[in-house]
Amino acid sequence: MRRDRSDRSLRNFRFAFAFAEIILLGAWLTIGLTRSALALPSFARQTGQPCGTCHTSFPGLTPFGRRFKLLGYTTGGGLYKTTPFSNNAGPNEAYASLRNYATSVDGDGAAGQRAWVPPISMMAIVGFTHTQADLTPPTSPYKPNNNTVLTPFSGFWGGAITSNIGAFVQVTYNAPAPLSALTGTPADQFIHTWTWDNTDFRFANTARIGSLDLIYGITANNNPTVQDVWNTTPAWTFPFAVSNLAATPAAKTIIEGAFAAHVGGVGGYALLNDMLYLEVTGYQTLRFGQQNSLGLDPFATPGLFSGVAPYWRVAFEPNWGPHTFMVGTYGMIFAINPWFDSTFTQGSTATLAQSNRFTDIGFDSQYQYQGSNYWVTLRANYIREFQRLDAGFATGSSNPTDLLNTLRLTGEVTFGGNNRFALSGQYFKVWGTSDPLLYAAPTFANNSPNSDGWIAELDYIPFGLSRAPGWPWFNAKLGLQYIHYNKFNGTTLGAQDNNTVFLHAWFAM
Amino acid sequence: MSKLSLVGIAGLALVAAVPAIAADLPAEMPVKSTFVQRFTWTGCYIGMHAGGGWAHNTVTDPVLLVQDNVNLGGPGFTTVVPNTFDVSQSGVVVGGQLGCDYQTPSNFVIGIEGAASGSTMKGTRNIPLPDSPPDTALLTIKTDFMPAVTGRIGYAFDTWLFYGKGGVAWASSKYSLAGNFSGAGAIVPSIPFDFEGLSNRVGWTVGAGIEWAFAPDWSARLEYDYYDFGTHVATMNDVANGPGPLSFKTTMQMVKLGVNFHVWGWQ
Repeated sequence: MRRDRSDRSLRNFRFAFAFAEIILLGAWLTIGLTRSALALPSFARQTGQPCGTCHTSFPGLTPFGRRFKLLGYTTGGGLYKTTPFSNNAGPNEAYASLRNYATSVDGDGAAGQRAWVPPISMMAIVGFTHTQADLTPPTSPYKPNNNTVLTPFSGFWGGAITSNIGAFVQVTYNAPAPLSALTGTPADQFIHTWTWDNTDFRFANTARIGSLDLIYGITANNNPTVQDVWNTTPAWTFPFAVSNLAATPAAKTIIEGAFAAHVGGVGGYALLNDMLYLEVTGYQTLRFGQQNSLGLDPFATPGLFSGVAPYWRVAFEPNWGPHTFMVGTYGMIFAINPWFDSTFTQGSTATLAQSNRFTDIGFDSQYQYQGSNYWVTLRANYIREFQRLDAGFATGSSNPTDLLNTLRLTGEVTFGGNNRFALSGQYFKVWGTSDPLLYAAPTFANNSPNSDGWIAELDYIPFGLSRAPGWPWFNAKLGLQYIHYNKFNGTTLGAQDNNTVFLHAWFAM
Repeated sequence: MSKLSLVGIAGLALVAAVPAIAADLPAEMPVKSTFVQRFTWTGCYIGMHAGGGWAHNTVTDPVLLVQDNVNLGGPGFTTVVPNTFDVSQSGVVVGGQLGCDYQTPSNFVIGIEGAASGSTMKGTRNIPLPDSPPDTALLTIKTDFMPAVTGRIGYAFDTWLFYGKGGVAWASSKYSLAGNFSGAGAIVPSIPFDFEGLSNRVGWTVGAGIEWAFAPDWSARLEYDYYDFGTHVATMNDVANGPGPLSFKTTMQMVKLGVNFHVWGWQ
């Protein structure tokens, strides 16, 4: 039986790598035959533009938004001076392309005339949550249902530091979960409300090697996929705002945020001819004390990494006219030493000597069409996780190996002045191997991690128009979101009790 | 020649030269104010602040919560009620604000502001359990988030603004009451308890401050705020021993130093 699983896993690996090789070969042939001028059509806007230039339904990115991020958040062109430093010209050629386009579109021409202003911003989401069934008691400090909560509230540094170095740094307040979420163990003392959140420091530059235009850079970040520029990968995927009170499926692959902000990673990336994106990054978990000091609950993760966890990303994004298409793969290998005393009853922060190994392989695709006054975006993301549970077998899991899969298929239409309206829908599914210990009651039913359902969301951005009141200092998004579950944590029985209406106002300042 | 005389001569020369200059000017001069022109507080701003916060809590009745719990002393175990204790909190406050002001021709300034602060305000008190000596319970109160929406009214002396403010405020706090209960030595080993509670409270705030526009787009301010969150009964839950009520009467004070960047005003 174990041999069968092993053979199947090997076949899956071979298939995955063969697929990646085909993508790489095809991409290499294509970019080699492509003229660089055609490879840069998306360098078509620049900062100083309305939100809709970078975002379809924020934080979803347009092609320009992706290039802005790849250039290290450093592209200037707005009214204010981009950085406090002026001794480095930065990737001038790439910037010039952006500025030329922006001048022709918006005709501002006043770039950098005013003094430098620190790129500090704030964000707040106020949301009303209604779930089909009441919350599990005790619900304090909330009502059993129909609650309005301000969460999250974030402060940001988002922008250039020098002409080649930029950063996206987020500090967030998350309102506490209801009392019922506390375990009553000493580990509860590590639950915090303020935490460092998504962080991404970048160095970026451009070069030309033969016929290849190149954007290359270094990223130092704290969340695998936070550095990614497509909204298919977990860190920035739809739904962009969710209720803090509604239950969500408990089973997720590790790469879907299990170690978000609990790790530090450094890697290199390159975009060749505005078409082929390559990245390799290595991550290591922060120490227990470091995590706690940064407002993170270390025991909320499965443990600490044993060595460096490699992350890879390959994406091929040809574009023609108003069409942009991406197909890619990404993944990560985690060797995790589980906590020895996850309830902190014995006061130990040690981990077991043996590790569990998780190999997450993702395949994703995105198609974006820019119409005269609208965008159509289709996204697909599939992650297959191979779990080898050497440390957890017989104590934390019934099987020595398990499989877990997640699938998200998303469609989004934004229209009106600078994407004033957005209509989004998603089908999601989680499924995997039955495991009585890993997927035990009361969280799961039938020893199964399976869940699936639908999300529909309508968004309205009242200040989305170019040069709207508040620009470029304030914006808002009003969203009405509905989540419907067909199956929840292994059962269809009572799955709809978790159906959620989330009406929210998202303020960005 | 005195400086005053030089200024006067220069002024005359300017007046004399006006027709010649005016002939070369476009029909409409670009309006771009500078800091040497009279400052106006009309406009909006976004900024950050930091400072200190102090809170005073009157807590009733932690002794009853522990001693009369069904798994500890049981109902009726406490001989004297109520038991009220004062708990003080102090800590650092850091946050941001966004607001808009309008300055009248008579230099009165009215405005509205939204602000949110993170806080490390924490207070503890060791509370004796009189019917189960020598047991004690450690009461801990932490307040970590305080948003507020306020109006302000003030009077401007050019780049200086003296103002008062008032409005609605919220506070998010976490409470803990933990220790061991021995029933005055009758229970061996003693039973650990850890009651945890949360609150999102609404109250009112008033304050006063002084703000100085030290550069064309920038101002700094010093502000004092008083908050009253009234009395709130929180559900305190111990996963092992069950829930119970605890009452908190809370007031707060803050002193904040802030900096604002002004937009859409005199640009």
